[in-house]
Amino acid sequence: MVASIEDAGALQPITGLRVEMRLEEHLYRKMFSATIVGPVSVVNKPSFDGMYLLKLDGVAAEKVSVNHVLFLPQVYQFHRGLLFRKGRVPAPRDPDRVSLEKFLLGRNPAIRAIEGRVYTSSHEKGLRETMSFQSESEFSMLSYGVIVRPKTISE
Amino acid sequence: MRCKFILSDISEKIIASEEGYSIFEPIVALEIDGKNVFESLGIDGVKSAVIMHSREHFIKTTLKLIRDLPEKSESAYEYWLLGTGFGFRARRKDQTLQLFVRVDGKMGPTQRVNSPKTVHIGTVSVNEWVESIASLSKSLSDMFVD
Repeated sequence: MVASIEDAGALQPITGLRVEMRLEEHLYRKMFSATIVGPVSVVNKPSFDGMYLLKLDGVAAEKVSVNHVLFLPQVYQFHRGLLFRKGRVPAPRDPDRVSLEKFLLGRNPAIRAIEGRVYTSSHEKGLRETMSFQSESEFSMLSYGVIVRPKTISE
Repeated sequence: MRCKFILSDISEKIIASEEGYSIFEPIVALEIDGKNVFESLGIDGVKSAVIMHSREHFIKTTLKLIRDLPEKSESAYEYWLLGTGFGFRARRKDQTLQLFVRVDGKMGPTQRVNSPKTVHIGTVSVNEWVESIASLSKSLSDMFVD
């Protein structure tokens, strides 16, 4: 039986993991690899909790013209055929926030991808030292994006 | 895509359950240029929208919008999030849509947002709006259609 993503317990850090990523409505549409640098916070803005800094691989960095992007997860993409069908269930009181950690390490094939906003920042150097922003004005949206699990940690 | 529907508060257990199609009530937000339009009303999104039935109406309304294109230069369309006091009005002139959020307590809960009111939230092309409806519909199909 496959546990639902809501049942996933404490997870290990995902810093250093490589993921496969694709940008939507951007001129560069190919899937590319990126490495998770670490979580990034925005002061007094909990709506940005769960955002991560990613380092793009060489070709993608050249095509997108940035070395790093920020990814804020928003929505899971489900694979209906792989959802473990159940009978009636009570509505959870407080469904989990969409999480890159749970997606990558949860090993649930019914969640095939995770969508979110992709940002860039001109404060890259300082960001890598503090891993935090003082305000939303320090970064701007590049496009929406999709992350899938790399083959090494998928089912 | 300049406008995009975002669904949150999604429970995998609910969508996998036998009655998930009928009881699925996520939080619905609409983003234009990466900004959640509901933030201007002081909320993150519309709670407990009966989204699968709303989707059926959204598709019918969008088909009418498309069919009207060659016949009328101006028209208006309502997209209500069923079970809530929130909806969208799309006012078309040629290939451009002025989008508004409508709040009406007679239609359902308004999450403490004053009503009735209509708030302009942005301007998008017909193509962008139709793509956003299609994308929302596909996301929902991926959850519920085998």
